[in-house]
This record gives sequence, C-alpha cells and structure tokens, in this order.
Amino acid sequence: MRQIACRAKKYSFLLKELVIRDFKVKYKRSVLGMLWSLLYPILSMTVLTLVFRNIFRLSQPGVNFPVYVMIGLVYYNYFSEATSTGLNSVVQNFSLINKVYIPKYIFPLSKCIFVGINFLFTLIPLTGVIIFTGNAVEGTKCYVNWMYIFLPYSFMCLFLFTLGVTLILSCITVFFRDMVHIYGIVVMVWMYLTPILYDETMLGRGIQMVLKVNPLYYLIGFGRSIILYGEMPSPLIWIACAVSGLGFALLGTIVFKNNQDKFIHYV
Amino acid sequence: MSNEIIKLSGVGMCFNLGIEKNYSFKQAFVDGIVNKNHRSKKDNDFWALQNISFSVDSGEVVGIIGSNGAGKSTLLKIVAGVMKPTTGKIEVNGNICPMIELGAGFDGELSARENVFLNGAVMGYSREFVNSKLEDIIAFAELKDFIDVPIKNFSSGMIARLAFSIATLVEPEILIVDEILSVGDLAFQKKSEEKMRSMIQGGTTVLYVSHSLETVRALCDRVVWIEHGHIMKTGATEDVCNDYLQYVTGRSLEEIEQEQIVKNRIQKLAANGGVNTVNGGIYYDLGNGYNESDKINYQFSVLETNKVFVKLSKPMSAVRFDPAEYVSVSVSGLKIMCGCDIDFEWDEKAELIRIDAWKMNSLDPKCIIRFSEPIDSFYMEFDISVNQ
Repeated sequence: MRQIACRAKKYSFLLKELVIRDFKVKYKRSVLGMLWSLLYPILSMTVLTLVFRNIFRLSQPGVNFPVYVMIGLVYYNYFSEATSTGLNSVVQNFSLINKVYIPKYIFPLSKCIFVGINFLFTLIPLTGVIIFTGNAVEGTKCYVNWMYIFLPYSFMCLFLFTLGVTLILSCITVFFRDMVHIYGIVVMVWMYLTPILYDETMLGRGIQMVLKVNPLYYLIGFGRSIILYGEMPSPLIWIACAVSGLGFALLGTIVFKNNQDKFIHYV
Repeated sequence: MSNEIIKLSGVGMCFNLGIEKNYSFKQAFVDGIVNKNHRSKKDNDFWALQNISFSVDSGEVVGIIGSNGAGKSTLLKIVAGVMKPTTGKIEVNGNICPMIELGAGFDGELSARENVFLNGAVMGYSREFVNSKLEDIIAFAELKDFIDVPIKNFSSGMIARLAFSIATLVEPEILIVDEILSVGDLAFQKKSEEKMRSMIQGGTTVLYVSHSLETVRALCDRVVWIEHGHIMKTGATEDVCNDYLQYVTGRSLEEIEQEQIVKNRIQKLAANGGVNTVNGGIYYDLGNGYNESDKINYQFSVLETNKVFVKLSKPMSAVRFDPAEYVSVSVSGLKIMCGCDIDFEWDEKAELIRIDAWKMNSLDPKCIIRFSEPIDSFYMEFDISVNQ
C-alpha cells in the first residue's frame, strides 16, 4: 500500500507534465487558444438546436431545449473525446514505453484528465446558456439551484466510466490497430443510442430497453434531472451512476493490468 | 549485506516473431475461422537472451559487448524495466536512468525548457528537483540562447546534447548507457566523457554498452560479453576484450596487436600535428663501438617507402641502422613497440638492402646489418609505416 502511494507521488509530476503538454500542443498557434474550449460547445449546441428544433421539430413543450441538448452534448463530448484520444495514447507513446519504464496506464489516464479539464471549462458556457435562456420558455424549472452541489458526483462517475472504457480500448488498440477505425463508427452509433437530441419517450419500448443499459443514459439523466427539471435524481439513477463508474473503472484496471506486460511485443 | 545493486539470475527473453508483425482483426479472424489449429507458436519463437546471470555491485562500471543483434539492448531494456523477462528473475535496487536512446520522450512542439521538465518527469523526478537542476542542464548543453525555442527547430546534435545533459545531471544511482558518448561535436564529446568519468568516480553504477572497445577499456571495471543471447565470458576488462577481438576478427592476438600498433602510430602521428618524418641514422663502428659522432643522419618518412643512398667514409663489414630515434623531439608521441632487435645478415655484396623496419618492435628500434665483406656504399629501401 505504501509502495503504491509512493509510486503515485513519484508519477503525479509526470501526469501533470503530460496534461500540460497536451494543452500546450493543442492550443499552439491558434489565435483564440483556450477560448475554443468555451466556444465550441456553444457553437455546436446552437447548430444542433436549430437543426433539430426547426427541421425535425424535436423539442418538447415545457423543456428548455437548448439546455437539454447542451447537457447531453457536454457529457457525451467528454466521453467521446476522451475515449477517442485515449484509445491511441498507448500506441502513440510506444517510443517512450520502449525506452524507459513508465507505468503505462499513465497515458490513458492523462488523456482522460486532459479532456476532463476541458470538460470543466465547457461548464462555463453551459452555465451561461442556463442563465440566459432560463426563463425564456415558460414553465421550465431550469435555473441554478442548490442541488447543483450534487453535480460533481455525476462528473466523477462520468470520469471513472470514461477512464475504464479508455483503459480497455487503449489496451485493445495495442493488439488490434483496426480499433482506431472501428471506434469512429462505434462513437457515432453510441451517440444516437444516447438521448442527446431526442427524448427517450419518443422511442418504442424495445429501443428504450437498449437505452437503459447505456451508462451514459443515466449519467446524462442525472445532470438533466437537476439542471433541467430542478428535481433530485431518483435513487435508481444514483446507483446506476455509481455502478457504471466504479464497475467500468475496475474492469478497465483489471483488463489493462493483465495485458500491459505484453504491450512491448506489439510495438 | 552484499551491495549488489543489479542482480540477474537465469534471465531469458523470448520473442514470438509471428505475432510481432501485422496482427490485426483480419488475421485474428482468419486464424479463428479458417485456421482452427493456430499457427504453431514454437516455430516462431526467438530467444533473444537465454540464461543470463550476472550481478553488478554498487559503484561498478560494467561494460557489455557483443556483435550486432547479440541481445545487448534487450538486456538493457530488461534491466531498465521496460521489458519483463520471459524466464528468470531480475532485481534492481536503486533508481535507474536509462540512456538507451537519447531524446526519447521529447516533444518537438515544446521548448527546451518544457522538454527538460517532461523528460525529468518521465524519469520519475519531482518538479522541484528538475527545477533546481534546470540551470545546470541548460548550461551544460550550451543551449542558453535557445531555451525557449521549440526543439523541432533544433539540430540533431543540439537535441542529443540536451538529452545527454538531462540524463547525466540528475545524478542517478544507476546509469544505463547505450553507445552515446559520441554525441555532439568534438568539444562536447570531450566534455561528456569527462562528465561520465566524474560520475563514475562519484560512485555511480554504470552499465555501458559500446562497440568501441577503446572506451570500454578506458571506463569499465568488468565486461560481460554476449553472443547470440548467451554469455560468452564475464571477467576483467582486458581478458574479455581480447577474447572478443579474437572471436570477431578470427585472428590471433598477436596479429591484432600488431595491427593495433600500426593504427596507433598513424593516429599518434596525426595527433602530433601531422608530423610524418622521423629522424634516424646509420651508425658505423670505427673500433670503439657505435658512437653518436660516427653517424650519418637521415630523415625518414613514416608514410611512404624510403630509399636512401648510404655512403660511408670507409668500407665497413657492419653498420647499425636506427630507423627512428625515439628521443627525437618531432616524434615524442610515436612509439614503435617493444620486441627484440633484429640482426640483419646480408650475404652478397649488397646493392640494395630491403628492411621491413615497421616490424622492428622496439622503443628505440635498431638493427645491425652485417655484410659478407666490407663495403662503403649501398642503397637501402624500407618502410616504417603500414607495410602490406
């Protein structure tokens, strides 16, 4: 136990440096730099809201549709971006793994943290949108309330869930590089199987069942329940969030740990 | 308590050549369905290392030599913890700084300063520690003016210098060096070699892989020689190096030494500022031995065949020929190696005498040339450089 703590301390600096590196490289040479983290979710939300409200007429009466879309987007984008970049993280750092001993989980972990920090930034425009559109639609309960203190719980679960999935994916990618291409499609399918743009009640019973095994459904549901409806999430959602977060984190750790010694042979 | 800092016992490393390459879903699919009985794994097994056991005491400098592909780098990677051995056990007690490839983990987009931190972090040091060493590292690498330039704009020499500085200035307990002393320009090479030496004197344990037997001889206390994944010999530097040389060149030790002598001579001559003539002379005995006063002086070239006409003041039955006088100022760096002096018998009334002077292995080489009857003049032709 002490050894683990000691190691964690030793490599926390490396973790920090890797995250810093990602930031520096990502925003290098871009005029707006970090501002993109704030702008991007607003812009994509605007586009999607316009398209889906005005063309597909998906908005629900009594629901603040821009916020509805944006919560889904912010949560889902975190998941998809972290997993997509984390997927490659071990393979990309092979030159390093091949030369120095570093705990290999540090690469997927650093990607999840890096995208996580970006996620926290996207909460700023989200809050902005909540405040600006809060009373636009009558009858919505979408305003900043005291239950917001529970939101970090869902963030934590989202992080753990994403980390678990990323660990598994980065591990698979080492053995099968095809995963990079396949996952692009997976992310797309997953997005449509998550109620980001539509309401689950619009679907048939069968498909609703599919939604219910999607951890993101509960994680996003947690956020929406508090932000959009001002309601405490149901115990089922609380538990589902914890189970998917801890469960996947544990599963990911086990899969990764059992396979990491083989990585070196698949460079 | 023994102070073994690295201990390998029965270490073996097996690579499966089959799975190393191009294993994809397609392959897995084909294997899974078409080819139910898996491609036999045994066929593709390649043992890069087998049954390697040795230990390194703290403060020791151990060289690892062997031909290309002998398994040296694999061995270093196992010691560094990058790979886990297939069989056997390895114990390492101390923090390791692997310099297996300089500049691993550099990011071209980041500046030198940022890369120092990143690299320090990769090696497991804390921010405070790297910060305290930053000045020294940049100063040693001579990159003060470029500290905030992205290193993708650096020359490869600059990157190597930076990497070397980081690796050595953090003062690790165990240093793993894979052929890196030839980094940067001549001045930096000298500096880095000095740095290595001072680290070694400071008690750093070093594992040193090199193809340059010269540096191995200069730096290492002990040498492990590996060939085809097996230890051929472990022991004192000289012994192992000599055996290795014989193995590689397939020639006897004497031959190798001889060649080395010639090489050394040429190198030293070059180092001497390009001096390529030596002073020598022909002595003749007027009845009271060979004296400095009874001598004809010559300047000989060491790089080409000399042909001299010798004219003595009166006929002699013997002369002493000194092809190179060691004391001569212009050749203070030159050493014509020890051996025995040769006596040179010349039966006929000579017109031309040929001598392989470079084979006269002596600090002060000389030979007596005897004639069957007294003569007062003759031509002499000889080489004192490489003579093939």
